[in-house]
Amino acid sequence: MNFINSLISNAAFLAQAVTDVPDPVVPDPVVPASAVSVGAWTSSMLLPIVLGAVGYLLIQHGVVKSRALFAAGVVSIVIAIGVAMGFTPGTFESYVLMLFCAIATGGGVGFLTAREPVYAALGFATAVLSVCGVLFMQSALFIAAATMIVYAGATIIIFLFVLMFAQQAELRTYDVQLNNPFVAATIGAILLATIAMCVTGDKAMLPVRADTTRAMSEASLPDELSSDAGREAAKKMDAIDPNLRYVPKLTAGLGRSMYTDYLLAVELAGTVLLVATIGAIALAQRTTETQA
Amino acid sequence: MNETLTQNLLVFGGVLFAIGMVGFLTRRSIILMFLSLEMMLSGVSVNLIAFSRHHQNYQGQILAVMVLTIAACEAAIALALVVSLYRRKATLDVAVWDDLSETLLPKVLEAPQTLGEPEMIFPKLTPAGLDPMSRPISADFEAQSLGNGETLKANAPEAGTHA
Amino acid sequence: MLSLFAWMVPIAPLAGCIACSVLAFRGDRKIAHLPAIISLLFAALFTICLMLFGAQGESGAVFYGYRYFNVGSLTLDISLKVDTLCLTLLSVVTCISAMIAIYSRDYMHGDPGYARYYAVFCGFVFSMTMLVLSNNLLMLYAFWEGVGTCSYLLIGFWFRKPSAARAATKAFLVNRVADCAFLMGILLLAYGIGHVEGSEPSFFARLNFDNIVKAVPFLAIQYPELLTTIGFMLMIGAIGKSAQFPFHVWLPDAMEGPTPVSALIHAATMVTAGVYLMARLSPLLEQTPTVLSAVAWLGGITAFIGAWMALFQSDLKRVLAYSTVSQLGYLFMALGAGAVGDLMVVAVVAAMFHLVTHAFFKALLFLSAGNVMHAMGDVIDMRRFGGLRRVLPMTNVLFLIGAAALAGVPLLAGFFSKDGILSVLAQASKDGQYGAQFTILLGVGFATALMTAVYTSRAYFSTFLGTEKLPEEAGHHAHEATSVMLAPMVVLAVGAVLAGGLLGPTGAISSYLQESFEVGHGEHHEEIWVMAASALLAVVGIAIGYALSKKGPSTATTGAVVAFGDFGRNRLYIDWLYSVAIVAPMEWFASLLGWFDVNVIDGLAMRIASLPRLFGLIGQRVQNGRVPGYTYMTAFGIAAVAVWIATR
Repeated sequence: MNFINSLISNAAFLAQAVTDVPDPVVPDPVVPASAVSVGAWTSSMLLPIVLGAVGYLLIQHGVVKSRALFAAGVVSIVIAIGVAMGFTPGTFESYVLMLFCAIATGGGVGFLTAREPVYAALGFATAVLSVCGVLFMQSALFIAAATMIVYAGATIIIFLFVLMFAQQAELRTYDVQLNNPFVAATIGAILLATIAMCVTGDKAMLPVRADTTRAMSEASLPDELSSDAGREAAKKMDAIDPNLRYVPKLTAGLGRSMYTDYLLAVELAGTVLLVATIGAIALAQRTTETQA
Repeated sequence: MNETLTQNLLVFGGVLFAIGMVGFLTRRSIILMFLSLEMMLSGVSVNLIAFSRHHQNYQGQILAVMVLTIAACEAAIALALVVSLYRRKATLDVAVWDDLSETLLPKVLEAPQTLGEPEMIFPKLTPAGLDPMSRPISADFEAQSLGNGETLKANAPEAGTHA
Repeated sequence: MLSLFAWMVPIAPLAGCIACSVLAFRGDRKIAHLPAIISLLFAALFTICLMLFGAQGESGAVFYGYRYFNVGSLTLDISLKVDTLCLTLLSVVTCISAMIAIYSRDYMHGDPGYARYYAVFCGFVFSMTMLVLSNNLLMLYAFWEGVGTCSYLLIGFWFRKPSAARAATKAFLVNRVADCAFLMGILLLAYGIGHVEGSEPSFFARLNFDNIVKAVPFLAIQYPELLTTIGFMLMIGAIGKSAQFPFHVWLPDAMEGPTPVSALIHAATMVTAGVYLMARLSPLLEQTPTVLSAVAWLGGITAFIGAWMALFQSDLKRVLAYSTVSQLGYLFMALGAGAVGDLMVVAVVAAMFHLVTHAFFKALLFLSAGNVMHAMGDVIDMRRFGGLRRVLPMTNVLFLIGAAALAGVPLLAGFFSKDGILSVLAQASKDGQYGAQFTILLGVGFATALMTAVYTSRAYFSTFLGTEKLPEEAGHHAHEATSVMLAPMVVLAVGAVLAGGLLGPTGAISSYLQESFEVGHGEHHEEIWVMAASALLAVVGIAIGYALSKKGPSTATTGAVVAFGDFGRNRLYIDWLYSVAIVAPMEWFASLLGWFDVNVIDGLAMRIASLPRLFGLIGQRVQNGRVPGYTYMTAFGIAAVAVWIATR
């Protein structure tokens, strides 16, 4: 896949990125100047949203009707992505992130507009793999891998199996026709605009909040951030083994937090998986008597 | 900078969610509707990871794991249901499942449609050479040389023969 | 005891009515005549007792019945006033109704509505007697409407026949129009009397006839215009009931009812109620000579056109109906003569005299026509039968007596009474102010007398003399009537012959009636020349009628004669005028209102009622059971909430 290739080619940079543990309190480095002031909402942020919606409508109509509309829609999507790029700070990392986002958006639009179901599934797979790239960049290694395995692996394969089982030889009406794409695009654009407004508005971001609700996690924090209960737990852990408070990074840390603080949730998740398995088998069985 | 990154990630999560929602609203095939659900869930995962990165703790990631788990379960059950539904009506159209509706709205009819693909236009070439059907070539046929302008023996081609 | 007699006179027919109603509900067809005839004979008996034993030499007795209602200062008492004027008419009503009830037994024999007929018949007699006996003008109005209702029920007795139903409705509606004016007059009178000092405080009690008579002189001095208006209103009421021009249109159509009904109601009793009202209120009318002059004019017009139309009818009953209209015109002409000086009482006497005699011979004529109709199988068109003197010998004689009385053959009843009217008119024509009017009216009276003789004798000669001709419907009916039918007719014939001579020249009726009136009365002067003239006209008319009955259809080509006949045959186009000018616009207006009611009012209600259904239809589309629709709603809601949060 392209993603793996790019990963390998940028291995040096990414190796540094994935091993770089973000500190609890990191002062902001100097922000390189960017064409558009970032971090604040401006009404020009509506432009890529509108262009994207228009592009989607043109593409979905052009796939069925004419090539010209299709091309116009693609151009519109590209322009939208280009304008959106203007809102990023100009670091290399942000460009890579934007690239992943662009691929995800392209895959998503392809998923929306493709009439053949298998093509749509492939667009979905592209989008999911780009999302995995983004997750990798945020140091969520386990989540990224799990997403890739579960979505792009299991889910897509199951969908493709069912499509092979249930899809007719030729395209049907329900494949070709879309329900009210205009209304849907409008609602999607409104929703996206409100999300962008909320997220990039003034005083929108929450301050960094250290997790002080879990004792074990708290015990891993530096003393200045920890509470009394945390310091107590830390002393206990030190008494057992001084290396116990060594905070493993990334995946190991995630695993540790999962199996100590959130153990009950994990067990319940396993139970849910078991029940779902049994349920799926039970539901998919044929009934004994013939149905009319 | 970190704030900006978080904001960008959140917007990206929103984009994925919006794409998934539009797909769910517009699609009429059950399978593609469920696929859109999965896309919405992946947008939610990105959102959670962004906040995990912002707050420097693992809460978001753990919740993302749970979301992933439940997404998998839901996909399994949903597809089992799709199989059952398909067995009932032999179609993947979600619009046929309107037994709760009043009878005033017209039923959605099934009509086979194809994408409008342009016809392949093959160029027409003028036929050349012999017509093997009207003049079968014998096994001991030897091709004559035509260098000196001599015509072929025994199998003189007729003018204007074409298949 | 007198009060007992007085109360039994109306209550006996009421009891008969109730008994016959009970029998009618049980569908009786055989014995319903018994309660009716018995009760009517009792009523007649009690009337005669009252005449013999009471109300002699007094101006009248008042017998108090009971308090009908008493609300605050409004009290309405039911009480009877018995005086000679009332007893005159009462005797006519009860005796003739008893005779006709006996006649009806055989005439209505076998009819499915036998008991119903007798029930309404007795109800009518009850209302009529109460009308005549009533002490209060408002009570009189109530029973006025009562007789109108019974007339409607009896004209429309065969209600399944469309023409009968229409005729009944026409009679009722025309009377109703006149009664509106009547009611306004009554209310104005009560109001006016209230303004006279020393009058009764109670609204209803003001309308007692005694109070009216007392208060009228004061009203005449203080409010003469009001009194004239009241007089006109009351006159219109009387005209409606007594079928004067322009309200005469209902009487000929009322012949759709059974013949005994025509005899009773439309010859003898109900149509005389108007005359009775005028007579009762003569003290009031005396003060308004304008009204009396108008009454006289209307009476004259009616007499003339009634006779004109009767000349050209081919239906025997219609001839008699128009003849009734014409004779009622005579009565009103006579009453109108009271405009002159002191002639009011004399006028009333003359009118009542003619009323009595007319009742006898007109009832006799109608019953004879009933015999003819019965024998001819319900054919009454004179052109289809003739020369019936051998088939119906007794009827022949009786009809002859009645016709002669009507035509005014000397020494029969009609001669004296008609002569009485003409002499009153002659007397009035000597007056200064109204002399010219009454001279003209006297001429009209003579002309009408001539025409009366002509049409009456034409009818008789063409029906009973000449070659015998029977229509096919006669079949085996063509025999003389039974003795049950003939006996009452004989009684009536005796009255028709003798009543005139016994009552008129001897002055018996004149002195009898004058006891009812207190005010000074003038004297009646006999004019010999009037008598001679009317006798001559009668003879000449009979001769003309004989000639007319001999020759066939008219071959006259002169324009005036043809027009005369054409107008007469078509009832002077008055009916046509009414239907075009009044009935058609009303029906159009009613259909317009009907359209409005159905489309606008009902339509509005229906549209409001269909609103919930519309809302339901709109709401149904929301719940279409389809997943995409529901998800759209969800997505729309989410977007709305997001927008709200973003813009907070």
